[in-house]
Amino acid sequence: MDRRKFIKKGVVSAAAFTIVPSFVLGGTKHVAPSDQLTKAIIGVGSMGRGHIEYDNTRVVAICDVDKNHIDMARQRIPNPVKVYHDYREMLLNPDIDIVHVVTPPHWHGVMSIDAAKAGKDVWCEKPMTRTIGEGIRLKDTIARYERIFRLNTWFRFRGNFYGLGTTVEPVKKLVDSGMLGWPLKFTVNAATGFDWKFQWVGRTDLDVQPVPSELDYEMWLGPAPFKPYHPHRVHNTFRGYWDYDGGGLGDMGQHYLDPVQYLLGKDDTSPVRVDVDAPQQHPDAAGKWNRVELTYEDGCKIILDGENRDKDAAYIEGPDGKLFPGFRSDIPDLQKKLAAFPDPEPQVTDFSDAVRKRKTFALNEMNGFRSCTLVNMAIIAIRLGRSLDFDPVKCEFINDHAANLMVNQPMRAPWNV
Amino acid sequence: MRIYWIFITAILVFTGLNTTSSSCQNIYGLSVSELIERLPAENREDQDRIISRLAESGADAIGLIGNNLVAPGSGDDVKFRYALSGIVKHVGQGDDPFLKINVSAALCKALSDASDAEVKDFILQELQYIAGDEAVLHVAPYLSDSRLSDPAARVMVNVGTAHAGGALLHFLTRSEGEARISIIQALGNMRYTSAASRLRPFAHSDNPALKAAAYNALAAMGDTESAAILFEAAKSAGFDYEPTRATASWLLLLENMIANGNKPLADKMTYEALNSGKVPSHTIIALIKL
Repeated sequence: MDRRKFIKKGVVSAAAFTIVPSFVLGGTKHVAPSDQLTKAIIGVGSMGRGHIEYDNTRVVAICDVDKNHIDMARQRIPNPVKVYHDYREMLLNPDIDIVHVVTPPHWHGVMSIDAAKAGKDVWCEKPMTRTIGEGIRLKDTIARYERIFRLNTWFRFRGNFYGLGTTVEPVKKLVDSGMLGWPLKFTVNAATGFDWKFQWVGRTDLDVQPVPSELDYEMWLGPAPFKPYHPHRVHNTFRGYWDYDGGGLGDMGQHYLDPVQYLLGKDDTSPVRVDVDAPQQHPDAAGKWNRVELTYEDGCKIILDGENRDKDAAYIEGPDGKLFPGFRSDIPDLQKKLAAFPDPEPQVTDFSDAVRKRKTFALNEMNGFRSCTLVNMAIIAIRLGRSLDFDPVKCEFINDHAANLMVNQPMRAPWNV
Repeated sequence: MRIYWIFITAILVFTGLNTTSSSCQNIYGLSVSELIERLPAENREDQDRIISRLAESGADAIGLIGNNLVAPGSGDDVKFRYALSGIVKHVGQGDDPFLKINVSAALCKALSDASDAEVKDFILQELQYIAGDEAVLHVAPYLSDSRLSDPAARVMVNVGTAHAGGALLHFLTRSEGEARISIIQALGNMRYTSAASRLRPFAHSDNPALKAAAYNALAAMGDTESAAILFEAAKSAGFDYEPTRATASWLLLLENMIANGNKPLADKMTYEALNSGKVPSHTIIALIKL
């Protein structure tokens, strides 16, 4: 007998002895009597406190390893909440529908995977994971447990994104129309409206300082390798260290590149090559870089222009036309011509509704994994200081041992994914 | 006067050539110290040339670098850290196995010579990208060191050979606390099945972290003889999440048992769990998808 049929038969048999909730096999999720979904936030630093008001859901629990963060969050939450120091204890709370993971990126994979295994839906900050390997495990876990996952970036479906001066929808319509031709080249730099935020570089001169009493540094590090404490490693400035993030590229990259991936229609694949121009990188502290080129199998390119070399660059350049910020183009009567083409497919953009109706959210674990892979490919090439070929099916680099060790990095015990 | 202009022109040409070459440095003839002084490289071309030269210098370069590494806050070793990391990342590409072994051996010597734990940690963190069997004997003693067991275990996982697995197993009973947990996790990550019988007792430990590491390692190995242990652990957890991740480990074991051709036992256990009527919906869904 087929295993799935066999187990489903088992489920039916089990139902004869016990009450099986209606949502057991693909039904809708239980909704609290108040009809308001509940959430817990892991990491209530400045970013995490911003999640308190997200999506009109009710905060019932918060978790942080810094007592000061907890105190500041409590002041902002009107209702009583349960407070946790260890997120694993928090996941045992049956009153939580959604877990927001708002920690530094080195925790995203572990916490999101544990939350999914605890039957929670997940709203995770970007970047989705710090390594490609963690991303694979996370997307597989979300799929296996049929959880609803969203990544906390939104420019593929809402808002003017950064300096581009337009929403994504008309840009998607233009790309899909074919008027620009194919393959396309995207340039992400200051001229097209994006700041790579090189202020988020690390320091190479850190001494050892005492851990402040309010911080559980051991738990803050979690799966990351142990390094002696220095305040620049943690809160806000953690972005400058490879063990926790990847500088401005790690932190903002998925914001900027996820819409590009959507526009290109490449949500199910990755580039086959990454070329890099960067000064040598420090083993611990993320530094500046000049330029990264990500090339897909069909010749489409994404240019990450860190030094704003291409001051007159179009955001999108194709063989038949260009698109500049403000929806300017060298195609005459663009708006008029575009009106004849269909609008892009609608997306699922209401997360609470997606949770209730068990619908896949617009920016989910699958396409989120792929756009995060753009970031992680670039980071690995920058750290190694060389161009790399990538197999988008196996999700591994070709003929580069060190690069593949960066795809899958062992975690500090007892953390694992 | 003519001689004067020839002289001036010659100086200008010479200076110009030197200026031109400053971004494309002529590095041949430079000592290891002089090469390191030019780090961090400003661009990829310089990085390739300087680091290649340092890597070719092997033990000489690594020895000098190792002698100049200091603990955080004890001095300025930034250029030496750039140098060591650059050599390792260059050699780690893996296209020159002999050079990789040569550099790895030199790093092992530097590891042995270093006295500070944070310096040793840095060397181990870099060694993980190039270490092979030649490094196992040198790294193994750190597996029982509470500060260095994690980076040492990372090296073993990335070496990934029976020799590395044997070293982990050797130090399993010679370690305690977090060091032992690191070793168990590393054995699981390596899927070193020869260790299964030695790990099973830890699944009954009173230490939740040790128990969790043992559950996960046994599951990763697909150890059928642990099936009953993990089933009972998952059952005790109500087939739901709890901090030792017993249920997740049990599911991982079932997955590996099916992959290894032991589907009948996996199905029997699944059915028994479902018949208990206590399996939460998300775990049922995950079971169906195995």
